[in-house]
Amino acid sequence: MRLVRKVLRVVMVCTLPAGISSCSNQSEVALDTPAFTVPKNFPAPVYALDRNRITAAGVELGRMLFFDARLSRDKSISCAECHSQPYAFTHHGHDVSHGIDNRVGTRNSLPIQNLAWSNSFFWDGGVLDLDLVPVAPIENPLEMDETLYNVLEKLRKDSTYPKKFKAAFGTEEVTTARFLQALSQYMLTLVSANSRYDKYVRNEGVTLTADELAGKQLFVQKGCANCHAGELFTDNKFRNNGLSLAFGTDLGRGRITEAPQDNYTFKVPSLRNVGVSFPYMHDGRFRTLEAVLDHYAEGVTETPNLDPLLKQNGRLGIPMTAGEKAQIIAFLKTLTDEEFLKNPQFIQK
Amino acid sequence: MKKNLLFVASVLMTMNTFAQKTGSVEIQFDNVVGSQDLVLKDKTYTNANGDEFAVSLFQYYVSNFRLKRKDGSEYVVPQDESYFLIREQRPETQRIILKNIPKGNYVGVSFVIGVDSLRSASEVSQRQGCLDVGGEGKDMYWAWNSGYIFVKMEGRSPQVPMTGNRKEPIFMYHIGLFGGMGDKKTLNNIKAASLSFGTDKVRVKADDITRIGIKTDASKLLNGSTNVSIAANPSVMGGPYSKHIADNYATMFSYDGLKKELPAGKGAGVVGMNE
Ligand code: HEC
Ligand code: HEC
Repeated sequence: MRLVRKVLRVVMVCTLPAGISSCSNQSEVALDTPAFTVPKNFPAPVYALDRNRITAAGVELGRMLFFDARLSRDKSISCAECHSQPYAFTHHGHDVSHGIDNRVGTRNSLPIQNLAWSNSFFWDGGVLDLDLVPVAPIENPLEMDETLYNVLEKLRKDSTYPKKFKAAFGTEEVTTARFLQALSQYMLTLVSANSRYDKYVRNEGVTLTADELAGKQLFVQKGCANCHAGELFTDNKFRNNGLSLAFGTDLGRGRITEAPQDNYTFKVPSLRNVGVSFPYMHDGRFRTLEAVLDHYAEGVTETPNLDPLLKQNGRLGIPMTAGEKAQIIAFLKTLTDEEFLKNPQFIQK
Repeated sequence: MKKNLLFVASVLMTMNTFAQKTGSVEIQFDNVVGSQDLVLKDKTYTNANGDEFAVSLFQYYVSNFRLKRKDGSEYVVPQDESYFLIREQRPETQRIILKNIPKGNYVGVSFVIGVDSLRSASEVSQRQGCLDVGGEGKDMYWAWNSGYIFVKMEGRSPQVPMTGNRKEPIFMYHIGLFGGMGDKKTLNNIKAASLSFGTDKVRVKADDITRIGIKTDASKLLNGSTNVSIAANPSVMGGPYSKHIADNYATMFSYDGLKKELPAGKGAGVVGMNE
């Protein structure tokens, strides 16, 4: 509580007209505080915000880390490399991510957005706490190929990081928990909730076209919303949407649980900013939304554990006319949040 | 008011004297292979399946210690002081100290092999010392299927087939998985050990250290309800087969008698989360 108040005071002081001498130092911390707020049309967040209180200094430290290639073994790749803002923090144009030494990963990068509403991470839900997520890319030989231990050692020896840790956490000590919590603080501020769709549902003076509105209805009628549910457009469950296995043998959730009934199921992804986050699916097999809609209409394959919602009355997939597909796509594009994709506070200057 | 103060003071005093009536229990872990001492790298052993093997690395978590009294009651060591990572390479970790044990006689000890599910899923600030995934616990943690590796044994065996892209005849057993959380279930390989002190009088005296030994038989990973063929299973890291190895190692601990103070230089012993 005290910390929050302090931050607020700094913000207030610094937003006064220029000329206050001691401000320049602090303003760095204070002026670009992308505060975390719960959008009106969103449910309550699931991340335990009370145990890692978001502060301006914590977010700034997290952002520095997110954009710092020293988190990789040879200083060649940062988190931001595979999670790039204009593409909703995904790896632009890569079906599966490319990491250090240009080694090729096995999965399509996921957007970093609205993570406070997620209760499991990665396509297979292998990590259940946002704070623990960064250890995976840092230590993955195909991604950053470093150890968290070494990263912390590098930061301890750095001339600026200990000061940033002090600003964020009170002392210069660089610990695992602080490092991870700072990254979480930054990632939690990446909230996307200002798309045209959002402004429409919040009655903020935005209207949708007839096609977009028809697409919105079809999205529910055709059953997309059964899985891509609610304002986050995901039910946070693991499901098999009938992708043909010809592409690969990724077991998805089954790899984590060792339960055969989970094989080939993947986290239902949010569809926010899906207009810019191509390619699609866990292995990036589709490059366009048209290809995705064609999949649901004609391409659904009967693989083990296919979700029953995609085989109703003995018919595979979701019947849709060309016009209906186009309208659904028009609707999906209303989920693109330009303010989020261009917010200068999210990038490291 | 005065009365109250007096009362508080006397309560504090009794609490204080009560608190002083504690001692420590030191447990000395001795890693062995069957009836032989465990010697890393240079010594070859044979498992029940008839495979020869040498061990290059052996380490495991033990946690959540409880000391049992004759009447069946138990002293539960406070959780934050009850996580230890025992490493064959590091003698100082093979000697753990449980502090503030109420004085009295004890008939047995029990503990968790690995890290209990609550701590396995706990927030990062609760993962200190040997549980620090960016520190002491760095090689005992899976990042992609988030959780601790409970028991890790690696080594070489001439029986390991040189197929696929394997360049050396090495085996690796990394066993973990805590069961997941809520509706997100995984395999649960957490095991517990409960050892009786038999006829030994294990007495904890105030301000004193009582020393006991526990033998850890590394060959039990391979021998037991499933006799593991190293050739058929050279690498087990998670996966359904890990259950068999965990069932096996559930029996790898045995009580090894009262012990004397170790000679100086054998490490100071480790306390709590064992930094
Ligand atoms: C080489 C590319 C690459 C790098 C570098 C990288 N990531 Fe990722 N990230 C991915 C991929 C691919 C996935 C999806 C992986 C999966 O599901 O198995 C992902 C997933 C994630 C997720 C999960 C999102 C969700 O909704 O489940 C988060 C959070 C994340 N990364 C954060 C980070 C952070 C923080 C860093 C830097 C420490 C980082 N990433 C570095 C490629 C990368
Ligand atoms: C049975 C549940 C289910 C239904 C119904 C469903 N989806 Fe999906 N959707 C998924 C899952 C699961 C994935 C991820 C699959 C994977 O990558 O293996 C997915 C992926 C997607 C993606 C790719 C997102 C990305 O970031 O890669 C889009 C777009 C999509 N679905 C749109 C739709 C539309 C439009 C409909 C209705 C026509 C629909 N979905 C119906 C479960 C479903």
